[in-house]
Amino acid sequence: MVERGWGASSLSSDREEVSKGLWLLLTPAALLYLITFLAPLVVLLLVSFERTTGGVTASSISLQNYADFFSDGVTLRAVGRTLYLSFAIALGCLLLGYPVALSMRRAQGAVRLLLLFLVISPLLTSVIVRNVSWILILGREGLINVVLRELGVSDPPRLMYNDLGVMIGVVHVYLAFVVLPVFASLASIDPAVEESAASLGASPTRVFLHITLPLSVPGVIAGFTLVFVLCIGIYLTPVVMGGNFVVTISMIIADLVRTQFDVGRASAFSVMVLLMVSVLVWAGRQYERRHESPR
Amino acid sequence: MSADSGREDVKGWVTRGIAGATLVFLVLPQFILLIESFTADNHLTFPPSRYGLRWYGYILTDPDWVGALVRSMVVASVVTPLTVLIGLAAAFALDRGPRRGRRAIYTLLIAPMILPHVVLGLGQFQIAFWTHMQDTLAAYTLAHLTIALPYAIIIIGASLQVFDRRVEEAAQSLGAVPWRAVVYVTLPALRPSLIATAIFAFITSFDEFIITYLLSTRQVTIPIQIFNSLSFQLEPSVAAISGLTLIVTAALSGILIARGQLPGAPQAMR
Amino acid sequence: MGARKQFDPTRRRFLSLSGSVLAAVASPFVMSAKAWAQSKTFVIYSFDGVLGRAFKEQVIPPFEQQHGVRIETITMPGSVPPMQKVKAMVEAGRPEADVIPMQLTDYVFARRNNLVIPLGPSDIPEYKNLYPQFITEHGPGLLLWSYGIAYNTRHIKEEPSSWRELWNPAYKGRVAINDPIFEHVLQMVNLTYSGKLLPINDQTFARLSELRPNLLTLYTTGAQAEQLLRREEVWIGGMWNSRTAAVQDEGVPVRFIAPKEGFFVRYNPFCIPRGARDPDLAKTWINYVCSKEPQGLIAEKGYQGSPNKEVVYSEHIKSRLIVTDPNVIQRAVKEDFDAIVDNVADWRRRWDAWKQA
Repeated sequence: MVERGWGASSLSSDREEVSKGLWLLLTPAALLYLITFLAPLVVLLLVSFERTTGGVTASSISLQNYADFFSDGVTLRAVGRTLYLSFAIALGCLLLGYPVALSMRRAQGAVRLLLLFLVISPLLTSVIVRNVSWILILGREGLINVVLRELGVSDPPRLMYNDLGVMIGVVHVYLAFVVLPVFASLASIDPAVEESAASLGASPTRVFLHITLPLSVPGVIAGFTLVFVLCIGIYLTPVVMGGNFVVTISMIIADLVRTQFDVGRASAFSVMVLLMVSVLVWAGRQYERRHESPR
Repeated sequence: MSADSGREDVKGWVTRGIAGATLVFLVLPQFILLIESFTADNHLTFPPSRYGLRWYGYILTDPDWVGALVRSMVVASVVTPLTVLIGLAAAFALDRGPRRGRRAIYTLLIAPMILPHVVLGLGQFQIAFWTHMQDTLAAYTLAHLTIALPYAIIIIGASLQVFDRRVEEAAQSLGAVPWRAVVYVTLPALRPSLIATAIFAFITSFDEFIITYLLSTRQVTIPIQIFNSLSFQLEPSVAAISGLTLIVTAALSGILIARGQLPGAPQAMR
Repeated sequence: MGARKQFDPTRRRFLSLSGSVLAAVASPFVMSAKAWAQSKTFVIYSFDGVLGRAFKEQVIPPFEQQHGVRIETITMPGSVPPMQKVKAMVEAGRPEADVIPMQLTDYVFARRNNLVIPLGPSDIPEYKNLYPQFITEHGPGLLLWSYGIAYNTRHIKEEPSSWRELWNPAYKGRVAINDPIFEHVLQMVNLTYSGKLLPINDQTFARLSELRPNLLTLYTTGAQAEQLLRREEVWIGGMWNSRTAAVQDEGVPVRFIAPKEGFFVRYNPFCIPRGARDPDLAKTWINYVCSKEPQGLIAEKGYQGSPNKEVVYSEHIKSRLIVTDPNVIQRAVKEDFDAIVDNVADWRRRWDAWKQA
């Protein structure tokens, strides 16, 4: 096994140049984030200590917003609900998306591009418009119910205005976010490795389980984590697909800003969400590291 | 042997079946939207009672819609290449840099994706307002770039991880200067992830609603325009814009095929 | 060369294409801007959808001609002003628009944060023609709308007269109520069972839970409410008059009634922010919008009632809107908006908890 980059190029001046070069590569992103991410975050942190009642903001500093996150009886529950939904959705995306990624890999040329197009087509339409379509399909008088009624089903199950509706709506759009990283991972696998295993007598399943799947794990983890984290931020889809009965933490935050004029509380809740998700991402990265190919 | 291959067949067909059903599921609403976009009715009803190009004509001539379309296109077209370049640079630095601190920097780089856009947008509005930059396309570009970059880090990062650096090192041992080895060997191998990043960046920018809305006043983008028309009327104009996006993207993909930019197996290996 | 070169043509093509389209689209704007360089520009917030169009096409042009100004409208998404932005702008001394139509709850926020200037009869002479209960200290309340029951006449033969009909088990899964302005739902529940709007307490939510089996969904926008009625997914629900009227005019068999326990009428105060660029013109504009003709147009095209006593409604609109009848308006319940703004955070928490149950 070859060592990581530092060992291979031996001259120390080379190493310094490479090191400087690498820091330079990070600079554009760092500069951008300074203005558009870190500065707003600082503003938010400062604002999170403001307490607003009846639309008027007090000038004193208070930790009450943070206390409320844990004690108001609704927010923690929404967080729990959000995490549960996010996990279910990410899992659903993985189970449905991996076969699609495999098919994309097996396909050639125009077919592969067609599949790619189909996979990202949900993303090409705006989220609000997509949900409107779903009403036409899954709603009380929608396509599916009409068909079911024709077939004699008297009390069709509710596919919308509940948790299931939210899962359908979000899996539909976030599937691409699993398929693409997994596909990129699969595409980077040298087919020669699989071919040689097969030529040595391994069945397709064994080849898949022992070679393809393990090599695609970085993509799988990346995709799963990505979807999981994205789901925590959803606030438009549950409104229509969940019939408004499904409340996520981002919906609470959005409402605090838009209708309750309570930016302080919204900021405090967001800081908590950011902390929570950072922990999740960190955990994901730990898991990913364990599956890194030793180099 | 025959029992084995039988089982293999079943597994193959199950996989194909799931993939097929999933693709139908993915496409169904867009398919319906496409049909709806050709309605001549005043509202979104399924199926339409009359067909025509009425709503396409509307969105391509109404000044509000055209303005929104142009703005969205301009911003997304600038955001996409910038995301790929800056993201590639950062992902590379992360992958090749010292192990210590990598986790922290990685988390920091993907953080904008984690924060709910509502609050990020509000913070960004304060800053933009202070610098007199609110309601400018430049502000939208910076904001979209920030939320698109995490995708680049994740996607390109995952690809860099599975990339076998021996090939790059082989090129170096043959006399290539390090950066040349990267450009001629590593980058082509990263092509699928770079294209994936470009796609995500474009879509993220084009579809971004809440931050743009908070930053905007009169410079309306497509998602805001859709939101405006939808909260008052369920106008088929939104179906038409969806149809337009789908058709245009399909056409662009066709161009990509013709130019040979398919996501493919690492060319270096062929 | 490597992969990077291959990206260039596409990128360049994108940018040049966009550039030429931009130039093509921008040129008419540049030319008309030159033409308008002579006249003054006046910026107002306006509505989206049908109402916004009614303003743009019918209400604004006569004013522009008469006063030699050009009115620029900023569309408020969801027809609701961005009050956080307005506060930031007024506090910085540069509000972006001179006239802001607000919701009554926005108005409490504006009042408490000192964001708007007081207006009296000397500023708005038209006040003498308005019903006094719609005049606030900072502007007239225009665009009257009401919240009551809409029901499908095809599926429900007997006209409901009480809010309790929503709880009727025969309508399982066929009822919808609103999520925005949810304080109407809570107050309505109280009205139905205790006869009083407030207080919102455990009993309110207990009764609301009894409604749950009937509920199909909580709609979020007027457009969604229309869609539910139009597709007959919902047979009865708490709805807004203007939306029901619009759907009725499409031929859908729905009707709007004001239940006997009481119903709600609200309006939009048109206010002028502190630091507005041209407050005098703003007052003239508001005065104009209050007057008979624009109010009549708004009623016909936008399905909104008017506080102006002089407005003559067409028979068609009178049959559709209950807020055209002054006697009916008197029967509307009186909401305490200060109490609402004070308590909405707490109510919202309990509402969210109830939703998740």
